[in-house]
Amino acid sequence: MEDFKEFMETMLQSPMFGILLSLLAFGIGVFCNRVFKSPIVNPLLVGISLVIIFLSVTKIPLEYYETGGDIISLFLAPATTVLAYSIYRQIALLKKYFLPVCLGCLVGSCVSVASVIGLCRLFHVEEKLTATMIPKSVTTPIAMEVSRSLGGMPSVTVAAVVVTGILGAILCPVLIRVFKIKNPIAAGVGIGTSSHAMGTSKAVELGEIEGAMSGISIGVAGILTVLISMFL
Amino acid sequence: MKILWQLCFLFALCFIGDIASFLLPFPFPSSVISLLILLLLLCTRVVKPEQIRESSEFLLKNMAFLFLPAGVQVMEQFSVIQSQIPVLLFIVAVTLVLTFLASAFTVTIVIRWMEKREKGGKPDGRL
Repeated sequence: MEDFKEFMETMLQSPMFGILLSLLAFGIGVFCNRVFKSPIVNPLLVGISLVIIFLSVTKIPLEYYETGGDIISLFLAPATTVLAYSIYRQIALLKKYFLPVCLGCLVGSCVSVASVIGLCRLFHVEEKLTATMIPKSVTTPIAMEVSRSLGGMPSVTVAAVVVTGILGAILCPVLIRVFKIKNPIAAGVGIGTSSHAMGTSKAVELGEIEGAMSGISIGVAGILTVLISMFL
Repeated sequence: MKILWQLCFLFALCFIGDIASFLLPFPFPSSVISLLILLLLLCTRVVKPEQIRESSEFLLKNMAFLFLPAGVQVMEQFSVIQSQIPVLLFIVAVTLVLTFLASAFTVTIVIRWMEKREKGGKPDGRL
């Protein structure tokens, strides 16, 4: 029995364990998302919850999982880099509507950062948590970096970004109707700036221009938020 | 081999980003430096989008999965944020609405202003 425990202990420290657990959990998340067809059942959120539940129940230390997890996180850098590819694919549209898109993203990003800081002060949220929340409207890889450089907790930022995306996918279509935003470019930029890729998946359903504009805004708002955060 | 070269190129960009981020006198995310370099290379046509298509589309399509391990680390901070979760959710919802309206209305106003200038005061609201 002792031998077996020691054997398992060694095996769980193999990076294969963390990678396998992540893939399985995400796979189940994707499956649940297909079954329930609701933005609340988000594959990433389901995957994260499943891994946390599994580790808590089996009492496997987080460090063992992280030997594999760190290898997956390594690919975040090239994934952020290729956001350039997705911006470039829309470069013709970006050139055509350069001024409205850039100003929209700039004003939106400033309002996002300022309103998070303002509300956090109002509710006496501590500094570290405020820094964590500041980049919550931008795409996850950039948000994590901004959070880290402001002294926040990148892992909590991931959760905040996902929740923002889910809420955005639900709220943005309602806001478009209530505030009578008729221009598809305005709607797209609004969605991309406020709720990144998850909102964009909703914007694609609204229309082609909305989807493309939302996609451009993810990159533009992300870069602008990095620049804004440098002055904080 | 094609995909290996693409990955080689992307990781080289990331490495350059890391070096540049280390050398810069102010904190700037290294992956965003690589993003800007790649965008510049694409815009100047030094790199053609087809040359990095397979790897780029794979990474973009499956990006959500890559955040999973980072998200799992939330369990370490859970005790810190537990009591604040309702407040944080409220802040997320309010700032989301404000951000959306601010950017959507800015775009609407700028487009209207541009149309007015082009057509000499005959805005039709939609492009």
